[in-house]
Amino acid sequence: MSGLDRRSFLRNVSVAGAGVMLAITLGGCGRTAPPPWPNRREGVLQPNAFLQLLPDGSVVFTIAKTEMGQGVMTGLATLVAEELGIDPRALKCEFAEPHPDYVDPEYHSMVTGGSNSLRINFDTLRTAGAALREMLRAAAAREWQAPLADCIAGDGEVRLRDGSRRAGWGELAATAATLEVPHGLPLKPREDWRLIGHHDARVDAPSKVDGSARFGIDVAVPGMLTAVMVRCPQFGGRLRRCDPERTLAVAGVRRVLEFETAVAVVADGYWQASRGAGVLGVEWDAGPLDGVDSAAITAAQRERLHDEGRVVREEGEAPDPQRIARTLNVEYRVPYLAHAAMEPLAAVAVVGDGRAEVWAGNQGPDILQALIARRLDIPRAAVRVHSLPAGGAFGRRTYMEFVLEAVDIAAAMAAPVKLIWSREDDMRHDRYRPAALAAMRADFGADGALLAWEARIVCPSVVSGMVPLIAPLLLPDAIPAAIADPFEVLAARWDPMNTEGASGIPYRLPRVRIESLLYDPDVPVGVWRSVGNSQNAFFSESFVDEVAHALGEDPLQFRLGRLGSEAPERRVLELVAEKSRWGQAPAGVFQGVAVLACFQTTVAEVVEVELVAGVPRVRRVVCAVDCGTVVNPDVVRMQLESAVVFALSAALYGEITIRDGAVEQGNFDDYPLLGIDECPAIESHFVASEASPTGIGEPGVPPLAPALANAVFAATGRRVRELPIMRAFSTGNPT
Amino acid sequence: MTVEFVLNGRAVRIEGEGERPLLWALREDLGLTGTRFGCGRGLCGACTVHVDGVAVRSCSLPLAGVAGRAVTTIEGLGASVPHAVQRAWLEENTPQCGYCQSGQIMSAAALLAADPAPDDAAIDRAMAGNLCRCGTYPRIRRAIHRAAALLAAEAAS
Ligand code: FES
Ligand code: FES
Repeated sequence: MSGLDRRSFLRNVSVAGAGVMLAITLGGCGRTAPPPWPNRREGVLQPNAFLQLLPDGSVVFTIAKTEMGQGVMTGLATLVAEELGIDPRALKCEFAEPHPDYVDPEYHSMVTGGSNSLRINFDTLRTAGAALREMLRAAAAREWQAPLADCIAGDGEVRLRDGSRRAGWGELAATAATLEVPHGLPLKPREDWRLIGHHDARVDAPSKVDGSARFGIDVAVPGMLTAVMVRCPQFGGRLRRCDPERTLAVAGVRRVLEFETAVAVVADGYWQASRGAGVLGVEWDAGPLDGVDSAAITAAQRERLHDEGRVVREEGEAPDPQRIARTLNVEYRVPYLAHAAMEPLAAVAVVGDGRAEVWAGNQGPDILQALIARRLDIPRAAVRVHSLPAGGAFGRRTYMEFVLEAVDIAAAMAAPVKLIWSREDDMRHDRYRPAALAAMRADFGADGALLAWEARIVCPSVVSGMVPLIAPLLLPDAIPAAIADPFEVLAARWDPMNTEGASGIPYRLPRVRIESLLYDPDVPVGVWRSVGNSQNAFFSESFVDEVAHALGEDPLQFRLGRLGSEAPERRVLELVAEKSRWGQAPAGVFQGVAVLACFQTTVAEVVEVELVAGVPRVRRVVCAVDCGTVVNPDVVRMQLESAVVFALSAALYGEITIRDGAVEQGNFDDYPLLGIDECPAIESHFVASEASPTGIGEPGVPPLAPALANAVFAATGRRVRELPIMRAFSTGNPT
Repeated sequence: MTVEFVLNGRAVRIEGEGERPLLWALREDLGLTGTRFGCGRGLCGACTVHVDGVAVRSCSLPLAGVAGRAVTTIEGLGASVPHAVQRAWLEENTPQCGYCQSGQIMSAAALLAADPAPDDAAIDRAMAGNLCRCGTYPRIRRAIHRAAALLAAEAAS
């Protein structure tokens, strides 16, 4: 890329994919003239959207999901490589540009999210690999006039069973290209798998230890300028007046551009731009959140409990009030949380001549393409989106306004521009995990029996914020995006994410009632690793512990005693109990347990804490997971470790607070992340399964906070109903 | 002003303002993007490089401060053969998103140069300022112990 000038980038847009088509699309039946695959090289054998065989025999694998640390490249490469019979690390992996053949069938877009990548690609990519393998075998059989059954593929070659002939894949490509792409191929039976269930080495690791990995923030194009933005700190506030004089006097600053809610400073480099931004004279008009702070939001949430919400689950008869001898009625609360991915948001944009080209770590390249096309009022085909590995995302890069900002600035400058968000921008202008509040209630009879369980959850809709993102992609260009508004309104009336993690409570209870009360204080919210599950599991699984203690039952036995024999929660709870030696912790060590099924995966965690000067310290976390077939065991372990550390940072310290309509925190000093010195030992155990693989990027997050709060109760007798936990143990609070 | 220093074993000259942090000179002027920007305030460690063998945060080090000194970045650490730390990192399957890893590896290499057999407490002290949002800490710890063993074996042979 770096050798090309801006003109040739733009020219490449028009010639991309113009090479001779050698093959038909994998799912091409019945479709008329599908557009050419955008990542296609010339002179290659390409049996389907995902694989290209190069003349030298190497294989390019086009990945239609975002690698953001979760190991999806390795997982998907393992599926293809299993059928090809090669080392996944031998594949040349690259990220897909937008094309219908890369669309996720569940999301109708190329979104990466919902922990579904391995699940939905399990058959598709094995089939893609098998197709290429079979074409090469068939080509060898034709060239050698040998029976197909005697032509064996693997390790980059095809050989005749008796060893008398062998040919590299590159040598067979020309003959293979004359063959039809086979369909309906049988896949390797499970007992023949060499990689699935065994391969551990990440395909992206080498470039990440030698520094050569390139993220969005690392992209450079010739003639590129660097921009930063000075944003209105208050949500919904607008620019009133800007005085650029001092900024323009800073060496290296080229221009100051005014936008509705921000001012861009464009300079020769990041430091020059941020110095210029630091001296910008700017005044803002207050927005609708003027004067609003976190306490007011909490008060309004509490107020909302007086309303009737939407009952999302109701089972069993409401107990006769006469029978209720005792009620446990408590409030749980969680704060806003930032994603704080380690790579600050950044994008490079080149705009001009009715075309646009962008580079960014993003969680939905085709959504981004449609958004840019609308913004510039140009056809989607005139927008090229290059996806790069993301230095973390956790849901944040589903929202791609940072790329649109880069596009706006590049258009105004008529020059290539890299926009870099500062850490403070990232912290103060996120789409936060919502602050939420739950009223939990349990009724008990005179005999002590549990009569009823109720959860009433106050939280804004996260789904409604997705609608404006996805609408431009799904609606034809001719229809205005405003037509999506009614859907947004609908989503704002009932959003299943609002109660997910609480509504599916799996225990046999005489009466269950779950109610969703939407309340939106207009602080931007978004999907954050595991979404609604992240807070609702804390509410629900902590309250399970409270109820168990109220009944005088062991919290683990309480759960097991109310789960069906086939419940997935039972299997992981039994495994985690065994591996953690539940109930047999050494003196001074206290255990807590929680379990949740989400993204079709079930995870149970036991957290062990000890008290250091009265303050809880997590020493070990034991995870048990049922995620179907484990494709890369060590990558699954990594994801559980990652989820535990991510959730532990949030549970111990994570808190974004609002003051006068703006976020108070700005960097890692006031939004601390867990460090290595606080990281517990983390163990992962798998339930043996032959089911298809299910999600692993998110499901490790939700059980951590409740398991920790339950362990803290075991250790201290204090029931923490409000996160972050360390707030209850900071100086001044009795322990 | 002109700042001259040794970068990954070769003499370099950079024209520009002496207060500009080394990080941006590395990334923007020299194209060495392996050194990452994470916070800009010395709070995350993503930008860690070695100056005369000591781990420093390049986001907070003015360019003028490296005049006449030797700077090593991730690109220079294992330029000829991968450093033991890098090998150990691969063997422990350490990186996830990878963004913090250059800084982690530079801090770990500096630690091992000063303390060839660090215990867990020494690892905590040396590495606590290197944040990893992906939570690779358990593997970083194991990788440092493994790298210490690799280096000891190299020294013995
Ligand atoms: S970028 Fe230098 S310490 Fe964070
Ligand atoms: S590997 Fe992602 S921040 Fe450390």
